[in-house]
Amino acid sequence: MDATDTPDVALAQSGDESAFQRLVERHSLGVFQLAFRLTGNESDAEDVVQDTFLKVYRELKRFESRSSFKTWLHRVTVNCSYDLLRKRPRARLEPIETDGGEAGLRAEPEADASGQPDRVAYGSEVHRRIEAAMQHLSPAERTAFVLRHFEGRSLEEIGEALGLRLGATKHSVFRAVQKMRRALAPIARTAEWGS
Amino acid sequence: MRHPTDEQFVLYHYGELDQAEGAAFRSHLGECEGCRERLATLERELAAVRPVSIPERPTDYGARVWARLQPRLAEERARASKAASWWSFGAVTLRPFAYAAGLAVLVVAAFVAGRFWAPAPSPGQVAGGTPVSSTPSTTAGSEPDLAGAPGGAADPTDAAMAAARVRERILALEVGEHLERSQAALLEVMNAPDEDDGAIDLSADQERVRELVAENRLYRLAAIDAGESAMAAVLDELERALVEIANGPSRVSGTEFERVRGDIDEQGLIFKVGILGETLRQRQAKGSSI
Repeated sequence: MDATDTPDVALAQSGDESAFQRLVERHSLGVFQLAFRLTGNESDAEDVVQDTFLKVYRELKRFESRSSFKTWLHRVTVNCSYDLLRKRPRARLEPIETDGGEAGLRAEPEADASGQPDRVAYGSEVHRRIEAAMQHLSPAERTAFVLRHFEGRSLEEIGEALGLRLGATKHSVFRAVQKMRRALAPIARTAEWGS
Repeated sequence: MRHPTDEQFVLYHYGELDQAEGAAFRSHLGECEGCRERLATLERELAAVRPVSIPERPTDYGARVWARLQPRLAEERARASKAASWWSFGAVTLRPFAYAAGLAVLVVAAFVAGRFWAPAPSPGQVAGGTPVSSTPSTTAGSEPDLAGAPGGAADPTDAAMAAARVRERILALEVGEHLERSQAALLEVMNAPDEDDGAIDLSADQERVRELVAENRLYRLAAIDAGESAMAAVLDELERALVEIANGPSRVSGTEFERVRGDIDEQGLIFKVGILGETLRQRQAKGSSI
């Protein structure tokens, strides 16, 4: 367990509320950041922060320090975010434009005076497409993708957090990547990525 | 090695192929320019998917979170304290149900045995309709020890009725949570996005749905046994829909999926499940004021 958390966890387990307060204040920002990545929404992330600490409060006496408090907190945050995503009504989404048509997102960034795609417009277009693609992911795909791609978590850890078998976890990540690539394909052809 | 699949490319990119698969993949890349290009394209595209910027929080964010959390913790303590008093009533020393998945099974087993959800007993009867004067229920662990009741001289009938109400609340909670999980799973399936070819992949949802089928079966049998016919009817409809999803193909055509979705829509199943869940929550809320 994290040396800083150890005494506070022990005190909080014995009912010391000020120790629990220290844990909350120490880890709130990290929980918010993870929740925001997973939900993509500031208000939802704030709800997840509250739900996470409430759940931790309820379950703290059962925490046995086999993993670090931070690892456990991470898992509870993922669970709360995943639950929220599953409950959140998903509106019928318009398909992401993939063929350069006029509807939806622009297929190609505008060119600047030198004939090169405008970098700012281009970056903004990439960002919009990624956001749109994220909205099209199912809760399991979104959570698995964020944890693997942005958080660098292993598939085993992700499967454990989501209650999925390894095969289903792999498939969730794969489907998310496919959707992301389809969303980005039209503009990927027009300029170099990431340079 | 044949050309790797798209999924293998993705898993290779994330370092998730096992040792043998990874070695075969690398070996194939060494001799296949097309696959090297495919990998380079994938890596370029995924490199463009960068984390979104996270909104900044004030420097005293932790303190603000704590301030918002405190009232909820107070409610939680009050709730836990009330729950503890329910359990201590009659010297029932079960652990709080929220902790025990295993307890849910015991609760259901007892419910199936016809001991739960009985109508409120009339004077002279205990839950389940057994006259007090003939064969009082004395199953260990399911009946309060009246000698230990607060005051030490409680009326056995009152104690039995109170115990029945406690059990009813527990079951309301368990079935309510099951319905909530089922509703979330159905909503996820109903909104499952389609693939390029219009097919829908349900494999990730099916695992969860299979677990729900097993739970649902227990609760449905319990409801039948307890004479809760309206509840049993909704659970029966729910089970049929869940079984269809769980046992169906993991990848279905758009047409087939629309049929399944249409069936669920037509029955108003999600609405019914929601109403039943709400009814149980209300029962529980009434119980908590006792």
